[in-house]
Amino acid sequence: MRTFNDNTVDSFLDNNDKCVIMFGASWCGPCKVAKPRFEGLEKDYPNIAFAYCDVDESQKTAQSLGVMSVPTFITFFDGSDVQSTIGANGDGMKNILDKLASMG
Amino acid sequence: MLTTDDPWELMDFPNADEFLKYVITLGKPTEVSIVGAFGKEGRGSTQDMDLPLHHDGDYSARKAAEKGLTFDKKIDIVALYCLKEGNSITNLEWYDNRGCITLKTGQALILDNKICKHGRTGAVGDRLLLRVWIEKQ
Repeated sequence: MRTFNDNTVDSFLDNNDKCVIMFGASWCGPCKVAKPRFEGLEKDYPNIAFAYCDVDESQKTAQSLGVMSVPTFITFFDGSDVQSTIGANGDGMKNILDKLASMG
Repeated sequence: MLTTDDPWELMDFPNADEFLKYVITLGKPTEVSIVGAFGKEGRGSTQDMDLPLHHDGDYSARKAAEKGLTFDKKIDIVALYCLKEGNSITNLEWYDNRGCITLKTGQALILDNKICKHGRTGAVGDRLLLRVWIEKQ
């Protein structure tokens, strides 16, 4: 899974029509639970690009997308954010991924 | 706006006055406190420990029961306004979900105390919160 920061986020969004980004932090316990779950879903959605973003290393991006708590997952279609879900719950991740997968 | 699907929210306020004006629209305030590190002993002291996930009122109810008393405050909503940010992390649990927040000065966390548990990782440190307990009417 790709990781990015404020400098590389634009190219990631430009190069992937459908993508999902997990925003997490090293100090967040639930993120440690959620990240392997998130990574595990990647194989089920081959047409969606997965990426991870550390909010402390990418404050500008997190702020511009309104990320105020972690973990937060945001789906994007053609560069625009579609839906988001907060928390380590796997169902929330799957719901937004299913919706994104059905688009376009 | 708290709902059963979204039982907590983060809001920004320009100052504590605006926060208080907002939270009194949610119900009847039953307690207003400043939460921080003030003394050397007991609750509200310079605590260097984590605070486990809990519903506000549980600790007071337990302490009251130990003394043969009852804690009768109804805490439906907990509203926490960050007067001064620090390094401690606020942990949240709602249903089978969990998340973390580092509250920034001017930011408020408003949660349904029946659905959400909250706690802290790290010492209270410099963080100062204005806490309002609300009883829904």
